[in-house]
Amino acid sequence: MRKFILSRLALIPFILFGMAVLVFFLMRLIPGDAAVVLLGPYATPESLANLRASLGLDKPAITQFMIWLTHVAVGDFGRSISFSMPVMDVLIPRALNSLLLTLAAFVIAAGLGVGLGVISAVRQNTIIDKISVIGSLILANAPPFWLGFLLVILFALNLDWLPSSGMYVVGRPVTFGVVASHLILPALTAALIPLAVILRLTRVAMVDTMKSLYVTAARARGEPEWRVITGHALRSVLPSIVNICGLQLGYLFGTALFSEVVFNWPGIGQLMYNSIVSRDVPVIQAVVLCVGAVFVLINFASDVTQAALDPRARR
Amino acid sequence: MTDITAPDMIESSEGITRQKVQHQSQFQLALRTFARDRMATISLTVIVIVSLISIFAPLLAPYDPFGDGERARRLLPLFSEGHILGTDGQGRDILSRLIYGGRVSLPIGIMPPIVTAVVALFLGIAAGFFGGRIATLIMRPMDVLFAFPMVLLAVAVSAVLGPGMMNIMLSMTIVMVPYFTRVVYVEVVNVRNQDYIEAAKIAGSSTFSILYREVLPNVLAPVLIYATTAIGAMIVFASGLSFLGLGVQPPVADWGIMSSDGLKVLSRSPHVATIPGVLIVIVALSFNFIGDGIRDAMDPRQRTLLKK
Repeated sequence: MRKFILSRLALIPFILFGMAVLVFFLMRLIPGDAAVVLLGPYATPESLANLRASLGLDKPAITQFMIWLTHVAVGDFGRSISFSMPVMDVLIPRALNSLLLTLAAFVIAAGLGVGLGVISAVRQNTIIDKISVIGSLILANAPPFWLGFLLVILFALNLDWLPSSGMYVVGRPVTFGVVASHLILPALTAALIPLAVILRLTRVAMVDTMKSLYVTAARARGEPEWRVITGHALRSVLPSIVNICGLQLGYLFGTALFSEVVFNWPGIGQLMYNSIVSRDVPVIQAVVLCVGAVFVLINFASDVTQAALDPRARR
Repeated sequence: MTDITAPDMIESSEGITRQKVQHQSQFQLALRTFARDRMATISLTVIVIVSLISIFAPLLAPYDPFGDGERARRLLPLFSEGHILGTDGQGRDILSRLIYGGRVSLPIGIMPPIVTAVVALFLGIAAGFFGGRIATLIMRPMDVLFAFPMVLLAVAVSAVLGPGMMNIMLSMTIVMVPYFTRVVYVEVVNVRNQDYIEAAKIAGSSTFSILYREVLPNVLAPVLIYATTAIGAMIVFASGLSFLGLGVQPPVADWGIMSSDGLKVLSRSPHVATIPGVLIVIVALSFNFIGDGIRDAMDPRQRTLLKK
């Protein structure tokens, strides 16, 4: 187990370095003079020269990369062009908002996904099963932003139960209840597609396991059905469910991006969107690299959890 | 249909008396299995119809999709006279725009998986068959690309390339290459040590001939299945990139842009945003079912269903 963790841990720096290389040189591919692109056609020659110097554009690419990397290593991504303040000061508060949204969405996706998956596997061909299967098929093939529209139409416009935009009401105190009510729809939007995938894969795994001999044996011993399901069947598919949920967490970053833009949630997805519109390269670099790094760590955690639950995965 | 039996079934399954066997190629067998899959055939019909409508859009669309001609009163609801799906916020006929939208949405969904499959076949076969340094050189960068969440990477690449139909297809291709390459790589590694490869080597086949005649046919099926399912996913994905403003530019519109344009008038006329999404779901689902159908048809174990 320790060897497994160490071998996985050893890979992480290489992957992070590869990501840094990719992100840096990707952003250099923006056509034309970066300084002109960043400042627009009406920039003065003086400000262009200043920006070039501050971005180090007058030095060779490798040197620029090394300088950039030493700064990034200590969390300095430079200054945001549209906010004119350090990138990290823009990023961190928004990252916390995104964390809240992603966590809420993950709880919904994993909880409902695994729960409904188990129920529809145990109650095969009932109404619940059929609704789950058809519903998850449709959800898994729907554009995330469109699902957000549907939720807005239903819960915000028609029923008027929940707010459809932002994180709190401007000019009113920010209480737990206000944030929670603003959180429900974006979290649900981000959760629906991963939920559908988790549901389907859980159902398939559970249907297979419920047919296996040790489940029959547990029933024959007279164990109550709920113990057969949770203690024997679910226990044996748990490692693969953890793996599925881990993978879906990565997908959730994507759906959360759309959700944040639809619902005006002040997170890094929305920041990324705005930065693309305004071509704020330092911010785009920081967002992509930070989210990528977090994703690498999550994959690592998911691998370790899976290995802890399933000795076969430790090789 | 009792006489349709794969020739190799006769030896393998006891209890079946030797009946008259119609000899059929693997392809014919696969085709027949596919034809018996109802969801797959319905889906294929849907895709063919949608494609034909898109191809013949100028003949079929009742109005000008860009609103260059006369415009309707703004924002007609569903089932209005002359505009069965209503009009959008600028008074353009939604049905006509959907019909023309397929000319963008379908190619954007179909082309990247095809290009990706070709690239991945080269990379995956090279890495899987030769192994060693070549594998490291190809697969390590893939691991880095893998490490990013897919949507994030595509958005970043699209942001760099700028909006437009070619660029959106290019960024989707770049993002998918690692996934396809891994599928090919795993399959080739499985095949590499099989006896028939060894036999071909001993028989004096050239490396190229082994790759082309022994390895390629084995990896083609999984790649084909993967690509078909990916088309559905890419149509959905492209609509998302369009929503973020990274897709084709006005006045051309794909289904994703049509749907996101509806956000502005969501409270008054929800149909503007919802209808294109329904079409996206139907088309994406159809490609999914076709992919499932191909998978079952390619799997010899599934074909035993045809025996009786």
